[in-house]
Amino acid sequence: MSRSLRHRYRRFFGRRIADEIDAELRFHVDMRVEELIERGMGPEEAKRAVIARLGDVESARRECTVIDQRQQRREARHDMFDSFLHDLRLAGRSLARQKGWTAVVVATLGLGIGANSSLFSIVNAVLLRPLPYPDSHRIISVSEAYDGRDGFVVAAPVLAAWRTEATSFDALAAYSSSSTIMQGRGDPEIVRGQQVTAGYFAVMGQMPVRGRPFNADEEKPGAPRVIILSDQLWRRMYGADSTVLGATINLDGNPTTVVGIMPPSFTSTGRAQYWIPLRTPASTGGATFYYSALGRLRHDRTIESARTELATIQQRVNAARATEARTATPVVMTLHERRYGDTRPALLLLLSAVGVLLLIACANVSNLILVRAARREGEFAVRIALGASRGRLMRYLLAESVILTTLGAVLALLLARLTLGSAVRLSPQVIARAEGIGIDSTVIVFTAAVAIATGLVFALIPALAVGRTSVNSVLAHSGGRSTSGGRQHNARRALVVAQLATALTLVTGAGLLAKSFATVMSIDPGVDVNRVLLGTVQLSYTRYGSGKATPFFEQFVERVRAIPGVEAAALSDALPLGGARMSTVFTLADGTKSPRFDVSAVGEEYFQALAIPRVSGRLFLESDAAGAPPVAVINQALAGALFPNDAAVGKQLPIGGENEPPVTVVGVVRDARQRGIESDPPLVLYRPVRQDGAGAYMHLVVRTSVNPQTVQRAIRETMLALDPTQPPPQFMTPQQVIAESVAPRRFNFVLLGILATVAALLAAIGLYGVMSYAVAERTREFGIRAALGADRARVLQHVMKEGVWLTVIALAMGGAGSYAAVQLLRNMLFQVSVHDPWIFAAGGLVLGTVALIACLVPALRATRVDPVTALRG
Amino acid sequence: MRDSTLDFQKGTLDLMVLKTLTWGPAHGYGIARWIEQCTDDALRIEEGSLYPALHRLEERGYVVSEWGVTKQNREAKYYRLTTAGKKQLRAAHDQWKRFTAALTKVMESAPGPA
Repeated sequence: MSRSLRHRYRRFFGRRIADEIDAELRFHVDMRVEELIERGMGPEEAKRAVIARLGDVESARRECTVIDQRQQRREARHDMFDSFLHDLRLAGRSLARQKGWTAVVVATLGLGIGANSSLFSIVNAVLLRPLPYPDSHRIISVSEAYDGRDGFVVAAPVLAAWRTEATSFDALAAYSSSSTIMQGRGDPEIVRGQQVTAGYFAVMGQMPVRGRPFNADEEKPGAPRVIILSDQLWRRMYGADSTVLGATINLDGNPTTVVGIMPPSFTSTGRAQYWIPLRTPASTGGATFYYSALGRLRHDRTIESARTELATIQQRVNAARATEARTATPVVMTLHERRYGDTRPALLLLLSAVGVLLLIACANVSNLILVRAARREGEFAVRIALGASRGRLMRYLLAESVILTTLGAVLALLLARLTLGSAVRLSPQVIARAEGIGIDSTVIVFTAAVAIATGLVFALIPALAVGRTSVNSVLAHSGGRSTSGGRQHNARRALVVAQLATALTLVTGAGLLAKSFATVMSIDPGVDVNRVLLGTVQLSYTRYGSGKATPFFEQFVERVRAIPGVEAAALSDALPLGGARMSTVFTLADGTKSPRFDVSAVGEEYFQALAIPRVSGRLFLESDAAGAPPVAVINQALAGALFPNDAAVGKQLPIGGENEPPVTVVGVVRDARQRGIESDPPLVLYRPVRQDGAGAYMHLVVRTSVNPQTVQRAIRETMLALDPTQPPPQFMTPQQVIAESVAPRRFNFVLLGILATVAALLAAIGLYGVMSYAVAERTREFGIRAALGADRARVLQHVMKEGVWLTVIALAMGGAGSYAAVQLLRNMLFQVSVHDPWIFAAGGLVLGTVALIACLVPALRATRVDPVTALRG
Repeated sequence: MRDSTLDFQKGTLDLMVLKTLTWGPAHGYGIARWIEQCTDDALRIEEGSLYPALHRLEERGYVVSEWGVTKQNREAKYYRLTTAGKKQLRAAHDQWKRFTAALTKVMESAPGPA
């Protein structure tokens, strides 16, 4: 007999531990006594002698008891484990026999849990995880609010007062953004960094891992230039060469000494790659400088007390400030709040949405489980008759639930892993920049917890249902009613209708957004996008600021034109399709103000490069240079606005005001969407770059006869040949510019699209569940019909009737709901009516089809019922 | 006596019990008597520690127990050696042999260089 069997036997039929030990010891004593009696001692004397010799009986008994109890407990645990493994194996086999059903359940769970896992990963990285600095909750961002509105910065005099007088902070530092041109082993590049006061590193809690931080002297104007590099910059640009520390590098023409390198794990606000001391100017000449500020809260102070102290100091300084600033108040919050506070409401809303999605998924799955339980009623009845206790059955159902939820959780993690990458890429910048969004241990733990919770719910529902089944009632009408039919079934039907209606609303909304997105993408941008290359050039301000860039750029453009494959090349001070540009108004002859229009400085070949046709007059020539009469070209919209009844060519416009000669309009061109693809073309006035002058930051527009990517290299080399110390241009295609400008629209559309898809799938599964249940309940009936020779098609029709009916109700309710709900999307649509009939129709069609397919499967099963098995019950 | 000699005794007790059981299943009293007889009464086991030792050996899987009936029709708990127990007996015996050999070397050593 195996050991475990024997022990189980003993536990059921054997004596308790204490009795056993007593019996054993008593036997020993009796035998010893007999032995002594045989040797001639009297019984009493023998007994005393034996007990004396036995020594401490009590402690022996206790020791044995302890050992035996320990053994018993261990065996009980093994037994439970063994029987659970057994249950798992049975459940696994049973589930494997119904692969379709299992697949649907696992898919539902995977979708529901997966959506939660994905979103939780984002929420975890953005909201829950502390910033990657020591004691990051003590890093406080301070700023001033004017009229209750946060300005995000602090005025210099207030900041100075705070730094000298406030005691709530261990350190209070100011910082400001900075950019420069650096050249390491490769080409020169633009690098972004920060100007910081010496206390910055103390505030962040991270010192350079090599070298040292700044000291207070280095903030003074005139002090020798120093710089601290980030680890990434040091590796990328200088190949992690340790001799860079202490060396002097060229920072846009200024020799600067490298005094420190930050640790690899350090990422600062604004993704800065280097830090230089912030020099507050000695005299500001009346202008006020504003800075961002961060402080490290003292360990014994709270944010509230800090705010009060800062307010007191600020009030005193405010007295000497301009009127608007007199009522300024301090804004004090943690850095984490500053960075991610805005996203909290949206993320929490999304989290509740996917939570609801999970509940719906759970409802569907429990439905499906009940369907299955209904079909196995006979099996359970037999088990109960054979003596299985309710507890035993519940443990078996628990095993099934464990397998289902484990598979579901694994699928969920896979789905989350697949989709998180794209989700982050499409997200608004703030989220996309958060560190560590991915499947890490926290997300896995969360997924496991959700899976366990849902698993418990599933195990309970059918177990309770089974529990209420009495053997007699089941055997009496086998295949008939099971768990309190009518009312529960109606509740399930109502839930399915609700799911379908909600899904329809979401699908309609997603359809509207999709159409808007498609409309936007199909807009003619007014420029031929396929053969156009856009570039951005940022030269060093020290070398090329104040008009010194013009001769450089003139040469540059000439050389670019000479590159084979280039048809036209020109400068522009603003990016076409890009967005912001300078705008102005001027006073008309009759004293009224002109409409506001954009002003742009462009090269002669600009219109040719972008294929903007000339409507009248002429375009710019090389002769329109500095010293020549000032000219301008305007677009049709501006011409129509300024000269509705007249030709615009030849007219003079005093755009420079009183002190400048007016410009003469020499030509009119067609409108182009300069400000971004969705806005109407603005009113634009173009000036020749040769007259206006080029700044250090300009854009290059190039039309090519070949694939635009192929000339990029030649352009880069041209520029490096002209001046090897300047960073070559950054290129992008018009498609990229457009894509960036429509990114928010695309994000909304994709998000709603995903929600709609998941909701539709879940609703379909819910409908499938209800239909399956109805079919399962009436198996006997279908068997009879089939036996009586019922036509299969009529059985199908009969079953589908219920499904179709539910679908129609759902579509009607959903349609009505959509009609109202889409008002929410009004501001997000583009040239699409909120009640676009095509989209509504398409949504109804899609959902209707999905629903009908969901009904069809169980209906087909009904037609295939074998009358013999069905009637046997 | 709460010192290392107790552990020493526990170890040798286990060894003797295991060895005794190689002659067949026995109850606690039988084991004690056998050892006494074998050593001509020179070795008397501490009877208070015999039963805890037997239960511990069972917990570790070296022996299994079964209630049976003696020739005098008394109920007694018999212990039997398991395969694991046989292995353990061999190992413990080897260890003991090595130990006594070393001890012998020390005790019979001649005075040598310090």
